[in-house]
Amino acid sequence: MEQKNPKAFTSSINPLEVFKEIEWKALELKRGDFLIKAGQTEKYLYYVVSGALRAYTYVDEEEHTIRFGYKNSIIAAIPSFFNEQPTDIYIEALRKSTLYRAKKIDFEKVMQESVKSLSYYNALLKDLIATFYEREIDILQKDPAKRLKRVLERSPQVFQEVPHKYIAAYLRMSAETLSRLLNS
Amino acid sequence: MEYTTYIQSLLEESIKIQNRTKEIAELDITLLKARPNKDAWNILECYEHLWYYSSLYGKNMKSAIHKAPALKQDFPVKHGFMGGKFIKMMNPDSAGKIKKMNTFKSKNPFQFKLEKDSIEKFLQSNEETIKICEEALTKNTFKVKSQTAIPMLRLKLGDALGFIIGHNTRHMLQIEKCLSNALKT
Repeated sequence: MEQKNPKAFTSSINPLEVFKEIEWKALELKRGDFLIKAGQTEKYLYYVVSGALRAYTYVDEEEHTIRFGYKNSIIAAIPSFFNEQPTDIYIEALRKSTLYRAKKIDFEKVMQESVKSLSYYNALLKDLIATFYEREIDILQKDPAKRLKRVLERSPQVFQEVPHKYIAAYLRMSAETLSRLLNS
Repeated sequence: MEYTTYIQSLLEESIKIQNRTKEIAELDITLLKARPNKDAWNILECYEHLWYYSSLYGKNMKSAIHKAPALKQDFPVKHGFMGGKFIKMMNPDSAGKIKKMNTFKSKNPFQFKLEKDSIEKFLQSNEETIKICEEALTKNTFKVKSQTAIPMLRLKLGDALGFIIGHNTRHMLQIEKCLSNALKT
């Protein structure tokens, strides 16, 4: 299994290739379409082939962008996917996007049938857990420039795929600050 | 923006609101009664407030649309002076932030003992709004005026539609915030 950048948001495995037994359903989203809204329960994992999406939630009155999906990345309302409780997350397409989705029960089925599938699923989870940890460290950085540097090094692709105003929100800085830091 | 594009977008928005509201109506009542903070409306109060306005406007718009002439050809929308102001007031600003407003006391359902029928009432009045939008596609709703919640003020029907659906959208966002918060506790 090739491990490109252990800190990257994009998955090091292509789930479409390693989970061939699973039926992946193609999905086209227009800008502004939602994959999931608060109150719904996540039944799928999505693999993004093209486009850009963002996951956000509200804390008190504030909207917070917490994650992006773009080419070769996995996106879903992860906690809800695992605990099967209604989510508090919204996932919105930022532009026209193509995704493949697979049902949770299909993953469970193939994992029971082959150890190889199980190890691939574990690799996928390892990637996900790593991104959550990186995100946690991001937020702890007091200096906005350091937060930006971490994400730039980890996922330069984000800056090509996602409108900067959402990256600024993700980095917890104003759009002006992000633009200034990128230009310096 | 062309007239039919304008009405079509209002129609689509209203259908989105209708579908989402049906979903929300299925949620546990404790989520619908939860407040993001002690002074804020819960989801049921939001819907009660939406129902006040959408049923009042619905009644006025329904009588206005009967008088509207048939649409002969498409034209660029030009909002009236007050209509434009009212619609703008509902929309988020350039940064996507909603400006806080105070509601009239008579339209404030805060601390009412509400149940899910607040949502049912709104679904019915929003269904009427959808019907009016559909009818508006074949009529010129900028040629007639509709009464509003303010006795002295009448708006072009096309503006009244834009205003009431903007008002719905505005409070749907408040409902989403409320719900997302309630699911965290």
